[in-house]
Amino acid sequence: MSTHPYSDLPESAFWRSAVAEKHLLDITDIWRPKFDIGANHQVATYGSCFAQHIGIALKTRGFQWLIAESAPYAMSQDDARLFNYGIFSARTGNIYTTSLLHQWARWAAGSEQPPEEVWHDGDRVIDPFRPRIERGGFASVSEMQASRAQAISAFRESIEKANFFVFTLGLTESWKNTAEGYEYPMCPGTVGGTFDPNCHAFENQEYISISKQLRSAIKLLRGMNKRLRFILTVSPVPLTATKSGHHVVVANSYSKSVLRAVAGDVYQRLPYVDYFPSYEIFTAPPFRGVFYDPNLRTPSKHGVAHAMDIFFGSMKTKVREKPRRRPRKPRKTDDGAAQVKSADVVCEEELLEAFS
Amino acid sequence: MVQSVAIFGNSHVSAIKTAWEEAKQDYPQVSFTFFAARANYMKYIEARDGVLVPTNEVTERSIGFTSGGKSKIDPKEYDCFLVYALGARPYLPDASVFYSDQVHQVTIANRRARQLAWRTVKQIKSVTDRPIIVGENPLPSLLSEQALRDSGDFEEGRVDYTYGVELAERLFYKEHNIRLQRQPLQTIDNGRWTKEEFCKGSERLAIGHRSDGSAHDETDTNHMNTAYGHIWLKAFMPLLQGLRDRGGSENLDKGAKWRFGLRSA
Repeated sequence: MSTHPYSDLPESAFWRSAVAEKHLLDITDIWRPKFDIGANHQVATYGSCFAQHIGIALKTRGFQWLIAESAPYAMSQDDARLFNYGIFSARTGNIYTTSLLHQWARWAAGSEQPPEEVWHDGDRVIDPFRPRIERGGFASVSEMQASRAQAISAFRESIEKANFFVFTLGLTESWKNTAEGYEYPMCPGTVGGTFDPNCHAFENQEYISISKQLRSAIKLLRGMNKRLRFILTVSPVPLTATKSGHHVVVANSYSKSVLRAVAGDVYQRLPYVDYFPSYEIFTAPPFRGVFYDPNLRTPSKHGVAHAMDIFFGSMKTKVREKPRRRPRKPRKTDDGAAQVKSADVVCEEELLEAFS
Repeated sequence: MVQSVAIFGNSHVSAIKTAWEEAKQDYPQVSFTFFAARANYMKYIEARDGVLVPTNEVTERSIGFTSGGKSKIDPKEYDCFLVYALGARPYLPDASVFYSDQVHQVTIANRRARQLAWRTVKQIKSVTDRPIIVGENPLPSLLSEQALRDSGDFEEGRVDYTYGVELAERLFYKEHNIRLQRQPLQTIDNGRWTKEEFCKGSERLAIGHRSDGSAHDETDTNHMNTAYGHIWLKAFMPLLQGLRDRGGSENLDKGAKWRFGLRSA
C-alpha cells in the first residue's frame, strides 16, 4: 500500500476520529503549547473581558498571576474588584484592540505621553482611557492623572517582570479622536464623555492594520523585556453591539475571523508567540454553543472551566490547585450598591447593551 | 470642674489604665472611668433606654470591676468618650503607590465597619451626641513582622504611620465627627513599629480574675506596657484640653444644652 502525506497523521488530524466519534468533552489534544508555563513563571494578563478568566484561573490553579497594581492590603476582595484591582495585571481596564495595546505600550515605553483629554460627569472626573476604572469617577483631574500614571507604571512593571504576556484580542471596531489620532476603549458618550461627530470617528479595523499594531506592540514590549513570551487568544465573547452597519452576527463573524487570522499569522511567524484556541473551544461546531449562557454571548462557568482545563491540562507543568477559601458573607457597600461577585468578569463593552 | 471621660477598651487598654492609676494625681482636671473587658467581650454592650448595658455575664463582671462598681454606662455622667483599641488597627497603606481618595475611603470605612471599635462608637452615638475620641491599637513591635506576614495582614512597600493616620483622619474620622488620638511618635520605630521597649512587661487587663496583672506572653508584641501608657496619656491630655477650651460643643447638635464646665464632678 502506498504512503502519502496523510497516512501517518495522528487521530487529531481527522475530523471523524478527533471529533465526530467523540463526546464533545472528550475532544482532547486541541492545543499543543509552544512553551510550558512553570510554577514559578510570572504571567501578566491583559486584553478584553475573556482575559480575566485566564488570570483568575492562573491564580486558583496555583500559577503565578502577576499583579503589578494591587489594592491597599486592607481592602476587601470584593471592594478591590469594584475598583478594578486584580482584574488585569495593572489597572488598565479592558484593552479590546491591538491598537489600544500598542497605545498602552507606547505610554509605558515613554515614547508617547497620554493625551490630556478629560471627561467630566457632574463634579467627578472620568478617564477617557479607563472610563469605568474608578467607581463614580475621580475627585479631580490631578487625581485621575495620578491614577493613570500609576497604572502605566504598573503596566510597565508587569512587562519587565513577566515571563509570559497573555493577551486576548477582542474587537476590531474602534473609536478614535480624528484630530489627535488616539483611540478610546469605548465610544465617547456611551459610558462617559460626550460624542462629537466632528472629532470622534468609528473605524472597523482591517487585517493589515490590526496585524501591524500587534507586531509593533510586541516589539515595544519585547524592548522592555527581551525574554518576554506571548500567548495570544481571541475572545469567544461575541460583540455586544456593532456600528459597522451589518447585522451583529455578521459583524461578529468579521471581527473574530480577522482577529483569529492575525493571531494565527503572528503565531506562525514569531517563535516567542503562541496561540491558545479559546475561540475555537467555544465557537467550533463540535461544541454546539453549549459553553455559553442562554444569551449565547456570555461564557458559562462550565465553559470557562473547560477551556481552562484544556489550557492547563496541555501544560507539562502540573501545579496543585490551591484550596478554595470559604467565601465571605456578601456585604453591602457604603452606598448600598450591589457588589461584583469575585468570579464575575468586568466588561465595559457590555454596557452598550443598555442602548439596545 | 473636672472633665469626666468614659473609656471603652479591651486588653490593650491595660497600658492606659495602669499608667492612669500611677499618675492620676498629675491630671487633676480629668477623671477617667474604664469600661473594659478582655478579648471581644465588649461586643456584649447594648443601648437600652438611653444607657449602655452589658448583656453578658463576663462583660458585666469585667466592666463592673474596671469601672469600680458600675453596672451600666449612663452617658449623662461623662463629658466625652474614648474608644480604645477594640480591633481598630491603624490604616497602613503603601505610601509609594498612588490610590485615589475614594479607594482609601472605602478601604478604611469597610475595614472599620467590621471592627468592634466602630460598633462601640455606634452604640455610644445612639445614646449621646457628646464628643467621641478613638485611640487605635498600638502598632505592633518589629518582632511581630513574621506573625503579620503569616496572618496575611502585612503591607509590603513603603509604610508610614503618619501617612496612614492622616488619611484615616481626613477621609474617615472627620467625616464621622470623631477625633483620633494618634500614637505618640516617640513610641514609633521606622514609621511603622512600636519600639520594642514598650511591649516588654505588658500586663493583662485586670478584671477581677486570678490572671490579673500577669504579664502577656514574651512573644506578644501587640500589647504595650505601662511606660507606653504614660506617654500615651500625656499625648492625650492636649486633646482633652482642646475639648474643654471649645466647651466640648463641636459634636453637639445645634441647640444642645450641655456644655463642658456646667457639670460638677
